[in-house]
Amino acid sequence: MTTELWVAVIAADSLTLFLLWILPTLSRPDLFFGVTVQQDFRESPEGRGILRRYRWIVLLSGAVATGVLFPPAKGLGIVASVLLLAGGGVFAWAVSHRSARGHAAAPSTERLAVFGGADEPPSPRGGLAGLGPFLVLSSAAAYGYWHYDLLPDPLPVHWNGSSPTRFVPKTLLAVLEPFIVATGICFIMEIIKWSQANRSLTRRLTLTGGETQEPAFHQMSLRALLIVQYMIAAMFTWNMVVRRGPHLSHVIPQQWAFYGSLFITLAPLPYLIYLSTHYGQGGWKLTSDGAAPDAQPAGDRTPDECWKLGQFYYNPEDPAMWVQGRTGVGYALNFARPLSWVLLLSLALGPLVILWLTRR
Amino acid sequence: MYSVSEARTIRIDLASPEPVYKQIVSALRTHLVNERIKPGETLPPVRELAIELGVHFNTVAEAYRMLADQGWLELRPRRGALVLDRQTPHPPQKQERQSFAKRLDEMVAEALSQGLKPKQVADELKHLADGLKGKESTA
Repeated sequence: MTTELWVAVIAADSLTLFLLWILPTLSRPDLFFGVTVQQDFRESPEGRGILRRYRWIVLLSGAVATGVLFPPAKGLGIVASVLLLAGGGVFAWAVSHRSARGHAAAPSTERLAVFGGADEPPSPRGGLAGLGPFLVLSSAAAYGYWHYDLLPDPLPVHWNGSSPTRFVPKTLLAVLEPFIVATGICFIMEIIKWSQANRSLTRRLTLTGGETQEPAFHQMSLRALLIVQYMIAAMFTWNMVVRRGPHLSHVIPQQWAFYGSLFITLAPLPYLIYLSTHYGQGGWKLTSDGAAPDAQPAGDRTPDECWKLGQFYYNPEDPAMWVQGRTGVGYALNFARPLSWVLLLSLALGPLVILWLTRR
Repeated sequence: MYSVSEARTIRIDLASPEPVYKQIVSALRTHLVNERIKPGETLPPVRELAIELGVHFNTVAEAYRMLADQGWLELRPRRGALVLDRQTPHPPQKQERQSFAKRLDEMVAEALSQGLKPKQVADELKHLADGLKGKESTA
């Protein structure tokens, strides 16, 4: 393993640890580790105890996961580190979920729909800005096409640190392959954005507290997806222009080119973390007038019993394809909707099919 | 953030003994009678309203069908439900007025049994009556 990749894994581990640490604070006040509870429960001694234990398990996993990376680990060490941290996070959450279930409260059965108001939110998918990632990718592909003769043969493939992972014979398809893959990923994300804009609730509002935060949260969620699309487009473009391109690949050291890729990947994260912590799940942090602590919890208006293992939503009675997830910030699929499975299969198989098509 | 106008909301309670489709009918009919929803407007598509309320498509479709049977809506496949300029039906017969008075009596008794004070109930009824009188004078 190269030093650069080791640095990347350390960065990824640190970020994961930070996210696991703040995860429980993002969910609604009346949802605690995926269980509907009274709003003041998390401040009670029992609630604090559950959160404390969760964080100890996470910290311990983080310490062990980081430990196996020193001295600079290779192959299996990397895999073990990632698995230890992810496994520790899942285990901590599962233990906390189990403890919180003993304090579950009956959620409100009221529902509210708003329609036809004068204050309809603007188009949530980004409008013209949504075309940006595709334009960036097209420009980079055009750059590769117009400078085809100047590109090295065989072509270096970088999935690793500064040195190429392998070399492939120079063909037009090999040059354009990264852009076809990236366009495929951005297109799948476009489908996710479309389905979230049209197949998820936007105004199923909190009845016990502020009533206007969910449309804003919905917009924020779609904006975050757009930012990730731009990040993907920028990363593939950087690799084309700086790591393969005839003009810059000899000027910028490959090691720094790799750090550039890493920076592009990580750059949007502070803003995305800021959005998550500023809004909270469902935008609950935007609400100034919270519910009375002893009010019947509204939760996210999905029944607890429809959350399998506290994580996977299956409710044939709910027509929404996307509902607000119970871990962190964002949306989760309703697995009772056939379209959810179609999307999931596309996510899993799409990139593989694209790779297979380009390598035939 | 976006402001929410109470004028265009539908509130339901899944735990209520009244079926959900009837609650949707009641809420929409109240808007229609009070002209918060006017003839020529289109109601949200069945799918959209069902997602917002978290109920099955058929529940909303049944509510729309019921309103269409009562002459409030014209159901247009894939184009939503159009609000019609419904003609006021013939004046109610004595039997219908008696039935209405009986239902009102029962509702008042239910409100009192749930702990509302007689003055509160009277105020609500007066508020409703004032609204109706205002409507009569503008008609």
